[in-house]
Amino acid sequence: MPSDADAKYNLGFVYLQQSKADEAATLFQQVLSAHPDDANAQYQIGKILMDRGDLSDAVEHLETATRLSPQADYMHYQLQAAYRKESRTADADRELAIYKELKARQRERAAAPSQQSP
Amino acid sequence: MLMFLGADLAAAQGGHPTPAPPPAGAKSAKCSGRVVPQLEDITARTGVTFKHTSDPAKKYIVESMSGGVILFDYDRDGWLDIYFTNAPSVEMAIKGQKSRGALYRNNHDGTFTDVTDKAGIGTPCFAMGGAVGDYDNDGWPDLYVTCLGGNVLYHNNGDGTFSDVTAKAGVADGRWSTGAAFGDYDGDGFVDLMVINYVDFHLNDLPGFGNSPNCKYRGIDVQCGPRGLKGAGDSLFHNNGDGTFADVSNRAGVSDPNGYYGLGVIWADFNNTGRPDIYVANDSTPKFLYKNEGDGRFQDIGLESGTAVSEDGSEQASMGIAVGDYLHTGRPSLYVTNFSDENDLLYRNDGNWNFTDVSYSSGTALPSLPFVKWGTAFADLDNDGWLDLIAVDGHVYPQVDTLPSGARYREPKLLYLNQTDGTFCDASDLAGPALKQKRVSRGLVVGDLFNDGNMDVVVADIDGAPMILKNHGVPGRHWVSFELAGTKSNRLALNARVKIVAGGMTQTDEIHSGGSYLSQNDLRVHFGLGAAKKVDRVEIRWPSGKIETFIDVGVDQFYSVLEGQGIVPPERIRPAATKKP
Repeated sequence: MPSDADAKYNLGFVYLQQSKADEAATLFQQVLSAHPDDANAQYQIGKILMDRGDLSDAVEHLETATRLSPQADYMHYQLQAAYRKESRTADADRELAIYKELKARQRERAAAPSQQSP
Repeated sequence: MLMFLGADLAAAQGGHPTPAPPPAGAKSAKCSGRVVPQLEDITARTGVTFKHTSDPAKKYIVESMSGGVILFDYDRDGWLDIYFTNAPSVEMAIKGQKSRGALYRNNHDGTFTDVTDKAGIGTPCFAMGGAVGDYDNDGWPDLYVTCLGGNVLYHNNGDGTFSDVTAKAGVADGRWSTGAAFGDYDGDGFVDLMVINYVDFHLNDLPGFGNSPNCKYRGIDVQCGPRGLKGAGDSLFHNNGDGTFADVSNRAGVSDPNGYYGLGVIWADFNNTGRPDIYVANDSTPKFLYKNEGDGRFQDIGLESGTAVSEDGSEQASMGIAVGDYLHTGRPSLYVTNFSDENDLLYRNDGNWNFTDVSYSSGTALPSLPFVKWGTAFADLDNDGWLDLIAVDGHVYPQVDTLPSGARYREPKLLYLNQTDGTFCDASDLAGPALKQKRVSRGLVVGDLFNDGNMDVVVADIDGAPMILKNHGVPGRHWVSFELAGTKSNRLALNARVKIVAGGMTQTDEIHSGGSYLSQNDLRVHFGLGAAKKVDRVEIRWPSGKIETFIDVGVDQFYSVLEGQGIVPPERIRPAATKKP
């Protein structure tokens, strides 16, 4: 049975697909009020804030997201982009290195089994 | 919980990641209240009867990826000719059978004549695409054809024939090559050659159709790859100036040791350094932006610059590339075509090697989502002085038509008109029936085929006949076109930059070899001028570094420009024919 937080997150995601950022942000904030350790909600809020140009708040949420979900490559990528927009190059490069490492491991896992001739 | 699926989840679609939702603020708008130029399919009356070989089942990835098309004035008569590449099916290739490409000479009257046999370039190989460059600076444009298992460099003999000089030049490569582009990276006046390779594919060791997760699409059996197949590195060949090239891939830092799945490539000066950089569209792997360091080496700054992946860090199935200053900032931006459920990417050049993914806010992302996109170009199709965008589509899997919903095999084309404020409106349904026709397209090129001041479009399909689209333009709008010839710079003036001021607008463009999807556009530089009745100023920055300026240039004319001598009669930039073709 999905929780109330799940339902709110999912609805927020649907609002994003409908380009209703404000409605989505409200729902994600409600999720975070009850579950501040929800990495995906932190990430979504961070992205919305980045789109609005509110970089320092975006960075705060994205940093939390990567701390909660360190294996999520896309979160590190978004954080590096936010750092780069703030001209925090060293921090951006650090996050980019983590992103590259995670993607490299994904590619290794996705390598095919042996090929077969017809 | 429905998890955010922004990252790759390769298992979801058998090798194709589940797409992220459009971001907040995503929009698209249909064009309204403006004249849309009509693109008419005139193929039937042009004399072009070429058909690309096709295996209906496409059981192997190599059967889905060809279809490059080349525009070049091979006989230097001032009119664009067309070369279509062709590839056999795998079954044909295993039997040693070939497929014939075709060179069509422009008759200057709206028709073309097949001169392939005389030219001697009909069956170079299992061809993918190609690029044009004058590697020996003799004034006759040469042709490089990319292939599975050995590329071909054709020297233009100046008499309507070409000679295969691959072995002497040392540029065969030998892998599965896709994109190629000429550019003079070291400024020595001789164009070098960047060659991109895709997958480590061999006809005697074929991947099995549908036999692994990477050979499935939404649960149905399809051709394998590229994910799950071994990739192939790339090559940079330095022109020695004597008809030979040297492989400098490793020293230059562009060999792609990880074997990303390379497709489109283009040389462009992205940061106004006067040195051409390289951009490579890699399928399902990060794209490369190779910054030219000026010492024979390049540094990949794709991820740092924001041009390697999508806005949310996803690697996309990138195929075609367009470069253009669509905002009149003097900085060339990038447009990259992608798979279905992946938006095409518009990377706005913000300067200082920083790019921003503005795909959604520009209005170009949403209309592109349903389709698998390939060849693309920036071109001022309505001559209002602002670059528009066009892209062509067609799926890779014929089998998708067995699915109850979603992408179809044959797809319409995409046309966006520049709204001058950083956004584009969708004119795909408004430019005539040709763009709405559902086809399986790959290469796309733009050029003024009929020398009437309107940029026409040639589309190569992988199944069957191409499309020659005549652009009827917008009445009353002016234009100007420049054909450059280097003297100290490379002969075709590749990567020369032309800046004009007219009608209160400043426009900038650059001459590119390669680009689009494995294809070659018209090398002349065309500018739409809107209502402007003269060009106030023209500034040319030659690859040699020389800058020439002209003022008060008349409109609605083609100009020939010879480095160091200004505007000259056309015969001054064309070599004398050894014999009439």
